[in-house]
Amino acid sequence: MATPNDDGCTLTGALSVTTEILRSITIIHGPAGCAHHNFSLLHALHASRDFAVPPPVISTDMTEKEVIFGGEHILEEAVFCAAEKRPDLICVLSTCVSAAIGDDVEAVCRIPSQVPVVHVPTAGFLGGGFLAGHIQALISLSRFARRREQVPSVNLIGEKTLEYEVDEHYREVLRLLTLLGVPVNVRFVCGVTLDEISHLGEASLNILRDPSMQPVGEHLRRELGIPYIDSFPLGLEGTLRFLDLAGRHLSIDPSAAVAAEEALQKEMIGAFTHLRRKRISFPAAPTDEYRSRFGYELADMLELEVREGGNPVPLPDPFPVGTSGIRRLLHRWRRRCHA
Amino acid sequence: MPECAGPLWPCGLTGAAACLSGVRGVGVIIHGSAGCYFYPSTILHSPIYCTSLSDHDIILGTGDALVRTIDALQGRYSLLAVLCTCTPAIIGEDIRQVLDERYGESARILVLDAPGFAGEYEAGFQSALSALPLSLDVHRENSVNIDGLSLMDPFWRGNLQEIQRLLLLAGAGCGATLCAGAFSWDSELSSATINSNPDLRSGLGEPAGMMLGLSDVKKTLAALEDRFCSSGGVISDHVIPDAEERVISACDKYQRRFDPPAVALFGQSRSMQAIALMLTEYLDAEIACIGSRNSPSEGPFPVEVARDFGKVSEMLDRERPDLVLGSSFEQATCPSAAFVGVTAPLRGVVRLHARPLAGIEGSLALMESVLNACMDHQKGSQ
Repeated sequence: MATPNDDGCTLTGALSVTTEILRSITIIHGPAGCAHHNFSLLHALHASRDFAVPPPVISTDMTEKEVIFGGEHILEEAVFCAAEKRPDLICVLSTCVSAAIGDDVEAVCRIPSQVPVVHVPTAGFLGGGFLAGHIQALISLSRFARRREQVPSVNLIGEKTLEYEVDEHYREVLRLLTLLGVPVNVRFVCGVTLDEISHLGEASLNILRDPSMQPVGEHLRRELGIPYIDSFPLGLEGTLRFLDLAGRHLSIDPSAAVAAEEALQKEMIGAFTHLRRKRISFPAAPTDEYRSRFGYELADMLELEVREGGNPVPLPDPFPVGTSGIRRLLHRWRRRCHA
Repeated sequence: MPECAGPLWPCGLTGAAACLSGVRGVGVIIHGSAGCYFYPSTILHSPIYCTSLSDHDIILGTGDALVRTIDALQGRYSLLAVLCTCTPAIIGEDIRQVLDERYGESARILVLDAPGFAGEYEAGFQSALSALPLSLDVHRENSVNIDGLSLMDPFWRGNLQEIQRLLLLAGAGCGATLCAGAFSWDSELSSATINSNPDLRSGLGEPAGMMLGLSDVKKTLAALEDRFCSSGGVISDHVIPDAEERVISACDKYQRRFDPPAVALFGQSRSMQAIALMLTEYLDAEIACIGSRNSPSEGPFPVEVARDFGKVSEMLDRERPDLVLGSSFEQATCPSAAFVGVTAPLRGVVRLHARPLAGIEGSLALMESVLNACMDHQKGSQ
């Protein structure tokens, strides 16, 4: 079928990282349209996260003239102008157009500047999809981190900052880590400064947002010597396992945290027992095994009957994080059963 | 310095996609990367397709990817429109030849060059519209076309419904709706056209007036009634006087307590001029500035180009208006002012009903929003 691949644009993936660095400027080397697409998307998502002002994104506004004669000079000017604003960092992202005409973006970024300039190769489809851009940006930025003496704390790696519930997911992980008595060192990268990124090496454990971030996890393990857990906690059992695994990685006895969370889960399930024996159905569209597994786990727990013709309930992608995420999901299921 | 800090307006590709995806029977294929597809598909809420080009296609030619996409759409549309994005334009492949060799006369396929680097949204929209093989019936005089409708406009649905209502009251039928609603590319256009957005005029049919701003609405409807109602009309006799009286009364009441606002408007140039005129006529508002997303037009108020967030911020810092009309970008930039959304995008709010900006109800809705926003703002500042 003639549909786009669902991976999105490399540029968008990289922007979801670079625009989360406080006091930084992102330059998109390409036509203004490419930057507008992404700027508008970021504006929409920022609005839904109650951020008033969109992040600083500059386009080199490449036109037919630069397509014909080359656009390195306008990038150089844009970097110079951005540096005059004295940000902590300038991130330069390339586009399909600048890559197709062969502009040497890396060389322009190497020109000495008063502000660190990092090039994230994101030539749209030429550089892969959204995930490739996300990973590439994280790896490019990790160069600002150094090995340091580690203290019991965790970094959160590769949060999907364009997710509508990104802050709710973060708060849930924070709550679970608090049960273990462990602080978050750096959110890499979500609302942090360049200075905070430089402290990435102080954590003793990295927690990846999901398994797609494994290339970043591996990179940081090699460069900074930090082991990782490959996903935020998903599902009821998964949340308990997460506490157990994180505790063992951090040499902390997790039993009290696991017991407390188990009690919370029982209480939460108790609040939804009147759904018992309701008939539900999962989305007809192909759902990945991952999400289905958590859906069936919940259905079993609440003794729901999953069958065709049942009340259609959502199985969101990404699946909600932790016990709190499941509580919000069960409210949605209950609404569907009542509707 | 070509710096463009936070571009606020879409490129020609999005304009072309907005135009063609609003015409029934046309299958829109974006010939480019998935990145170029996602934005128009998100804002237009209409099925469009993409060849999702990869580096492999760039090296070996994009024809195969396009043919695969077209083959999968065969039989679903009576006309396919291939919009070539920046990259196919740069590599210079002869797409027309590829398609002629593969399909000959067996499929109706339009090929449009729509690289984002070559023009703005309005240019892409107009170029796509002029490429459609539309036919105009000069003898079809009992109905009127509506142009200026775009799926990207948050007010298109409301505008369409309102203008259709007014045409009915004026005794006229509704002709082609360019480019949204039920209009199909192979149906014939009526001989006259009224415009709902002066920045997206089609140039098709005899111009029969404009429906944005109460003064123009009055003139347009009076002319329509003269033409279609032999015994005078309910609009000129009742609907407009009633609407105008309500606006005057509400503005008068506002002015008994408050000074008129200094207003900054941001959006398409001609549309903002029309709205500014209405605000001065009925509210005696001071027009502090107009920032235009597209190429500025002549009009009663000076217009500055404001296509990027940096320029918008500079203008708002300079003018410090009481009231801002624009998009949620302007709302974010100037939270201290009263705000009314008139320009896409309007983020961070739930919008469910078909709110018009054009016609009588559109004028009333706008003045209502302006007065409420100004009063809330005054109360807040007290």
